[in-house]
This record gives sequence, C-alpha cells and structure tokens, in this order.
Amino acid sequence: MNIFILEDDLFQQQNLRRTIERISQEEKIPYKNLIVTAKPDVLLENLTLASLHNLYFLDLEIAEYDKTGLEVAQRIRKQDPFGTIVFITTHSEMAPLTFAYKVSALDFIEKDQEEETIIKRIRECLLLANMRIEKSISDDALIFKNKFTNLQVPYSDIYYFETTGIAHKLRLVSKNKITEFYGELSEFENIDTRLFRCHRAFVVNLTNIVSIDRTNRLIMFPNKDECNVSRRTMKELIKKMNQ
Amino acid sequence: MVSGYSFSKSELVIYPISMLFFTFEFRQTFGVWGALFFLALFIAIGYFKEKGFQLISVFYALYALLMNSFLGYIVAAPLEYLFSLMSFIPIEVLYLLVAMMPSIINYLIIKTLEYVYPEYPLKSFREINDFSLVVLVIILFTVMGLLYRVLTIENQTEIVSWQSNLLILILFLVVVFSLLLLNIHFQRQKRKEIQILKDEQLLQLQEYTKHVEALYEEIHHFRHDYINILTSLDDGIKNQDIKRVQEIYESVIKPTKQTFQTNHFMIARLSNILIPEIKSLISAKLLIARQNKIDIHVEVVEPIDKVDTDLLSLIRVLSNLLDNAIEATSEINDSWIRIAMFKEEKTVTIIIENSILELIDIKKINDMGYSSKGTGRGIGLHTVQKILKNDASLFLETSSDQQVFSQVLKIAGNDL
Repeated sequence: MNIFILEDDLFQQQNLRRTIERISQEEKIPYKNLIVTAKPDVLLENLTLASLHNLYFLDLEIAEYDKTGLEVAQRIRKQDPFGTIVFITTHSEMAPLTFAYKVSALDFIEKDQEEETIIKRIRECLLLANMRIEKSISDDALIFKNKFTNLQVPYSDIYYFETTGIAHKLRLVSKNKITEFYGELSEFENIDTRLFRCHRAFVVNLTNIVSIDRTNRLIMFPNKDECNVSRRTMKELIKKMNQ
Repeated sequence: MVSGYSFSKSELVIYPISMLFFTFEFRQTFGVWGALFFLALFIAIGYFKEKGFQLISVFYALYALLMNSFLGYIVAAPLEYLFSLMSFIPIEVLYLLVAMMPSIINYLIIKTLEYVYPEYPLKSFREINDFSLVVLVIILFTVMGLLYRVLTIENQTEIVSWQSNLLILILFLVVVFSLLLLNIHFQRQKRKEIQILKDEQLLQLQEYTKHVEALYEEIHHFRHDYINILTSLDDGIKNQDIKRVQEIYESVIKPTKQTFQTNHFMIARLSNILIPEIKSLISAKLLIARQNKIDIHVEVVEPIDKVDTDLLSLIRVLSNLLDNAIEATSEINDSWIRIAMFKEEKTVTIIIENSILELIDIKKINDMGYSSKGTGRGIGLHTVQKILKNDASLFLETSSDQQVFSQVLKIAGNDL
C-alpha cells in the first residue's frame, strides 16, 4: 500500500503527514511510500508507479488549480478501482452521499473540527484501508458496467435477475437491495458459473437457492421470493445443484 | 405494437406466423369463434406481458382485433378486384395479402399519428385506469358483437348488401369516434393535472423565496456583527491583550461556525437545481421535514439544468419518495433525511436516504397499503412502482440496513 496526501496548505499538509506516520507506527500498518504533494499532477504522475489498494487523502478544493479534488478522485478511480479515497474538507463543501456514489469515497474528514476528532478519523481510515487489502482477495463481486449502469454486488448477496416488462430494464434482487438497471438478461447467463438462466424471465444465483419445488417448477430464495423454472431447464438445474 | 409491449425477436416472428397459419387453415370456418379465439390470445399475451391481468390489455386485444377486421374488410374488396385482373397469381397470395395488410396499414397509421402528434400516442392510454376505459371496452365489445353478426350473415347469404356495408361503416366510425373521445378525455385529464402541479409549484417557489430572503437577512446580520467583532479584536491586538483576543475568539467567533451548519442553510444548496419544478418540490418537502424536527442534509454539487424524461412522472415519483421519507422519520428523535442530486455522463441521479430504527423488508414496502407505521399508509411507494412499470427512463434502487433506508433514482434519459 502507498499513501498519498494531496493538500495545498503546507501547514496542514505537514501536520497530516506527521499524524499518519505516527499512527501507522503505533498500529503497525506497513506502507511502501508516503507521497505528499500540493499538486494534483504530481499525484497523478506517481499513480502509474503505484501498487493497487492505495490510500488517498485528498483536499477537495485546491487553490489556483482547475482540477478539483473530485476530478482527481475520478482519475484515481480509473487506475486504482479498489483504492481507498478519503476527502479532507471544510463543512460547506461536504457532500458525502455524492462522492460515496461517484468515486466510492470512504470517508469525509472535516477540517473545521477538534484535532482529536480528526486524528481519530484518520486512524479509522488507516485501519480500514489496511483491512481492505487483506480482505480484497476473498472479496468477490459481480462487476457490470455500461453507459447507464455501474453495478458492483458481492455474489453472496445476489438472489436473482428478472425482466420488468420494459425492454432493457432489468431488476436485480439481492440481500436487502433491489436494483433496477439498464441491460439485457442474456448478458448475465455466462458471466459466472453460479448464475443460471432458468427461465425466459429469470437468471438465478445457484448458491443462494433455498429449495426447489419440482412439481410447480419454482425456486425459493432466502427472502421468500419465488422464481419460475422452465420445463426445458429443470433437468439442468437439478444437475447443477447436485454438483 | 400499439401497446408498447416489448417483444423479443423470436416472439416477433412466432406470433404473426402462427396467426397467419391459423387464418390460412381456417379461412372457411373463420367466424365468431375465430375472433373469440384471437381475443383470448391477445388478452393472454397481455396477461404475460403485464405479469397480471389488466383492463388495458382487454382494450388492446379488442383494438387489435377490431382494427384487423375493419381494415381487412376495407382492403379485401380492392385486392380481390386487383387479383381478378391478374389471374396468373395464385389465390393463396391474395389470402396472405388480405391477412397481412391490416397490420401493415395499422402500423403505418399509428406511426404517422405518432409522428404528426407526438403527444397523442395510444401507448399513453395505459396511464388511464378509470371508468372511461371500462365504457370504452364495453363499446368496443358491442361493436365487435354487431360486426361479427353482420359478417356471418353476409357470409351465409353471399350477397353484399348496401345496408350491411353502411352498418359496418357506422360501426367503424363509432370505434374511431370513441377512441378520439377517450383521447380528448385523457389529454384534458393530463392538462388538469399539469395545471394543479403548476399552481402548487408557484406556491412552493414563493415559500422557497421567502426562505432564501430570511437567509439573506441572517447573513446581513452576521456581517454587521462581524464588523463589530473585528473592531474589538483590533482593540485587543493593539493593546497586546492576548487574553482578550482569546476570549473574543472563544465566545464570539467560534460559535459562528454553527450558524452556517444549521438546517436552513441546507435548503439554500438547492440553488444548483435549475429545473424550477424539481427545486420547488424538494424545497417544499424539506421545509415540511424541518417543521417536523427532522435533521436535513442536501447535496447538489453541480448545476442540474435538465432531465431527459417525462417531468410529470418524475415529479410524482419524487414527491412520493420524499413523502415516504418524511413519514418514516417524523415524530422520531434524532431522525434525519439526506438528499443528493448529481450528474454522471448521461444520467442524473437522485439519492433520498432516511434514518430508520430497524431493518426494513424492502420486498413488502411496495405492496399496496404496507407501511412500517401501520395500515392505511404506504400507498405512495405502490404508486411509485406503478409509474416505474411504465417508464423506460427511470430506474430505482431500494436498499436498507439497520440504520439507513435508501432510494436511488436514476434518470437515464429518453434516448436509450
């Protein structure tokens, strides 16, 4: 893991660097490089050398510079999709929902609060980023992208995909989440061996099936939802389930 | 085609061919029973496409059948005449043409109508679901009964009388006329709804203006205070009285941070929404939330100047989602609502989140009348589902954990 700091106020920049160095020593968090800069370009240049799963502390507003923190974050996201991005900003610029959605920003640390709180938040971010590196290998998610959609769901949460009656509008039912999105059902048939097209209108996740009702040709899921199975695919489904 | 159902490619091929085959095989005996068979078939198709029975699919079935019969009847005579001139073409081609012509003509008529009057599509009928549709279905049913009676009599006697021709013409006019009436009725209904929304919007914008003016007052006051503070600070610094400077900072300057973090400055963040209909709606709902002591948080980080979708549907969906969030958080201590609106390439996204006390069953909330706050409420989300079912440009994501209930609405634009 590399740690990047983008901050144009030199005083705050050095403060942040010292805090991070101290905490990572205390918590025994290993990192390769600590890159501290006031210029977005320097950060973006260094990105190419970087390993994956970096940790970034970004100031949202960089004075005398036309690239905002958000744009920098978006560039980072393209190169390091699993890195951890933390914004350091003032309250009036706070937009956690937006940035969490746009660049999966992990956290916002407000500049204008007590130093103790700030240090506590930085510590939390460092610990979490470190944990993510260990976890990310086992973390396996379905990633699906097109010009209107950006899906990222762990396979363990996926129940099934279904058609909605409107062309190209699909619905994904997962644990605690229902998502409508733009796509074709056929795009999910062969994406992973766990996904299976059991009906004209359904692609199901085999690993989350609770039971199969053979007489009524239905699949049951943990949330008590039922999916139809076509006569044609019933045999194959049973075979796959027994594997 | 008329209904706007989406058919897969294979379905598009299979349905017409099987229908053609059927007509072809039973052309001698084709009569009332054949018509009833097709009616049932069309309704069944509607049933599968809607995933449930809807009155509108009966209407579409009747419409398809009637148009087919009328247009078929109209084109049959000239085609037969043409074929009598060119006797070298086998008679089967004639039957095929007579069977295909109505759908082709119908398709052309509808496309022309959609092109000339884009706001008058037959698809929009699916949004009406009231008494007038029942009346129309009954009229169409009667017309169909009469029509097939006339046709069967004619078939038996083999004579085309001018009375029956006149009757068929009248029936045709009745159908066209009733469709026209329903369309006018529908347009009027829609215009009325838009007018009501506009009136509401004006009131909401006035409220919003009042609120922003109050904010301006507040900032004005602050500026006044600020100059006073500066003067006393100036004094302290000149006299090297660090204790006094510290005192002023702690007691006067530091608390001002709070001024700009309170709820009512959040509403001012809506200024980045440049679509008045949406701005006024959200501001009105947020003012209600504030009255109910709900903590609000708003994010509109960039100007949003257009959404590429039917504004009326969007307003109705948003209004229901916001009402739902307010309903869920009212009368609960430390509850909050967070709203964000932003652009990404071709989509505009609106996030509405609210605090909850326990995990919500997201499967049940869309059911009619379900609400975590007891029966009689929760019609809103059901309405949302009904609108989304007919809208190809709105995509909703619903999720819940122990503390947060979240609705993410994506507006993908009409040029999909």
